[in-house]
Amino acid sequence: MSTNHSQESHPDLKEQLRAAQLGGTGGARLARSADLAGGRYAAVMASLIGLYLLVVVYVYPQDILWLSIAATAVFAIGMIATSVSYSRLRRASGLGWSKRYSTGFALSVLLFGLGMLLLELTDVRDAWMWIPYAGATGLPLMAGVSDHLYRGPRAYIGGKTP
Amino acid sequence: MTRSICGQPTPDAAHPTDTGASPHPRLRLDEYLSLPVRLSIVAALARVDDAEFAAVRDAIEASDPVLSKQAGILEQAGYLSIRKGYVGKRPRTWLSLTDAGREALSRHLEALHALIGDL
Repeated sequence: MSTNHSQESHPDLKEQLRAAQLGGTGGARLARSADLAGGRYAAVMASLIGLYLLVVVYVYPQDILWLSIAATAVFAIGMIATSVSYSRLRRASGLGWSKRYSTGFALSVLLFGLGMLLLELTDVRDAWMWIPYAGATGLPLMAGVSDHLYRGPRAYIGGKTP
Repeated sequence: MTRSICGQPTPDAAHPTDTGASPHPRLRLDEYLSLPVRLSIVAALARVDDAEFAAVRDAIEASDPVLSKQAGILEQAGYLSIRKGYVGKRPRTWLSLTDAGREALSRHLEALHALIGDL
């Protein structure tokens, strides 16, 4: 059913739709760059957690004080510097990114803790076991974020794109 | 409650009118979103959890004063949340869409598509 009102406001409606498309396109660009930045951040954090696990397994038992201190300092400074630079450079967060990152981070920390427990119980330090395990420790952190990058944000105004 | 383009409150779109029919799509247009620049702001923010003021300004190709004024109006309407903070010594303003804003955008776009489809 067409009404006089809708016919009169025809150009206005089209203009509104164009404005929504402009905003949607700009927002999609923003979300894409936010997801890429978040993905890089998660990758660095995942690498740091995995590397620190290897430090705990191979460096600490050597009882070389300066090496242990240096390894811990590199890990701590790396974590802090990565977080600070991400928060300084961040211009936006993709839809649901924070929740995915938090979940991934919690799972990675859990795997790290399980690794420590395993080390304590078995005292096995074979490289074939610990190098893949270190890689697996960072996987949950990467999985949520890379899935987000690959498939894009799921929830978006009821699945409609302006 | 939905506000019509004419500023008159209208029945909720989800509820039928007295005649049993759905309200005409023009009655579901949201007065706050009928201004193209506001619609652009809300449509851009619908893609992200939150975004910095300057990033939104660049995304919708608007000026600082225009975005500032319209964001303030959308915040008063309850569609937008504005958070101010600092990164180091530099002040930053973050904008995010509220659930009400997301719903309003969805309703408004549906009404727009329906109206344009009617023509």
